[in-house]
Amino acid sequence: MTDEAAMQSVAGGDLDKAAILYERYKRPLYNFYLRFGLERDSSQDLTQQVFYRIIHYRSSFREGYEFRTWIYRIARNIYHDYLKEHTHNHKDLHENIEVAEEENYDDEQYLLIQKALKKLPQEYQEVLTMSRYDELKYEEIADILNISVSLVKVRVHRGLKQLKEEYLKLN
Amino acid sequence: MEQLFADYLEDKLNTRQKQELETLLANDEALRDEFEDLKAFYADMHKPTELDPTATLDLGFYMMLEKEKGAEQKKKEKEQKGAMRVSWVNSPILKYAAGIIILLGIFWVGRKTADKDLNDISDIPSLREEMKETRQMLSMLKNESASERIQAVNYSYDISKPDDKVLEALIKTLNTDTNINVRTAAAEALSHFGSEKIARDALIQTLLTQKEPTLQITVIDILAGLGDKRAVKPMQKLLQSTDTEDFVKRKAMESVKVLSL
Repeated sequence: MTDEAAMQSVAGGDLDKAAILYERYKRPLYNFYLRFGLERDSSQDLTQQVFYRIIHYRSSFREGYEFRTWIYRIARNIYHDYLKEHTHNHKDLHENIEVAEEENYDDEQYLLIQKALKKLPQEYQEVLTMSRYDELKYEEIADILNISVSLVKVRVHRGLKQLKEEYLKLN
Repeated sequence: MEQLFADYLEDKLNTRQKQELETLLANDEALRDEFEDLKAFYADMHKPTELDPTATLDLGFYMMLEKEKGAEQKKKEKEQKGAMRVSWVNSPILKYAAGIIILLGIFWVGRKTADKDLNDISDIPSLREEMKETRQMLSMLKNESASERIQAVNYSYDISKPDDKVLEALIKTLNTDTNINVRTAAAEALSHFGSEKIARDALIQTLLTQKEPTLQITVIDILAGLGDKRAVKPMQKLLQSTDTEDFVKRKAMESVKVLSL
């Protein structure tokens, strides 16, 4: 059963089909949040909120939507809400992100790249993370961010250039 | 070049584009060096080993799913009852029969109530269950985790006759919770108790204070659905405000029209 067919069933009231989608997406979404530098508990919390939203707002899923981009768009909105809630203490948030990343991953190369990535503007961080780590296609990223595919490509190129510069500074 | 490079990384270049890229690189040494550098760097950005969420996530999800299934079932039953009621009302014979049954019913209830010892009311299992759910809900609303608080809000759906404590807790959540999803869940729970004036008042009031467009849209939808004409004024204020997003204004405009009919 495709994601879209499962979600159409959910939207039509067959809520058991939500379990299929949950089992397919819980791990990618949990890691999506971990890679943004959130602690494990917060990542689980936000992952659960994604599924809460897709079930609760199931009727807003329309025929023709691509489920993967729809769920990632929701996941991204939830992440932005989380950031907004924690912006009153930006310094603490950044310190927590660094600590969380070191706890979650023991790959030094990856941690260094993540450190450099956090120094980039948000729009570059997003496209690089989604493209490289979440393995989303440019078309999907464009759809999630509601921007053109050309702009995604420009951001990938410019973001990568800046990332390399920041990485070299840290090395 | 930016487009070509990005497409190269995804291996999406066609033959013509590949040739175009090769020509560009062949004619510009600095560009070629930059290209090779970035290509190598991109390859180094390997994906870390993915981690598995714990069983707590599964537990939370399946509990939430069961809760939603219960709510969906109740909604269906309510709709079925509503449909049956409509067909009854349209039948003149049944109207008379219903009148007689109601009279007999009133007489019977009167007799039963007179006989009943009201002190035994706490022994009624369903009422006891509701009291337990109320306590559980109020305590869960203090939880640090937003998803736990959402679940707490969802518990309120199981309470058929909410007391003031429940409604006040939902109103407080709607107005003060730091998490937008929890506030949205509280607004929807209050709409469930839309027959209670205190719930409608809170929803009308909150329209003037909530700044999140998604929540504004939710509350506007709820108030239009409840058909409370008092919501027109705050909606007009939203329409006049320069801070209100255009899509919220469009929604408010539609709802003002519906409520003004």
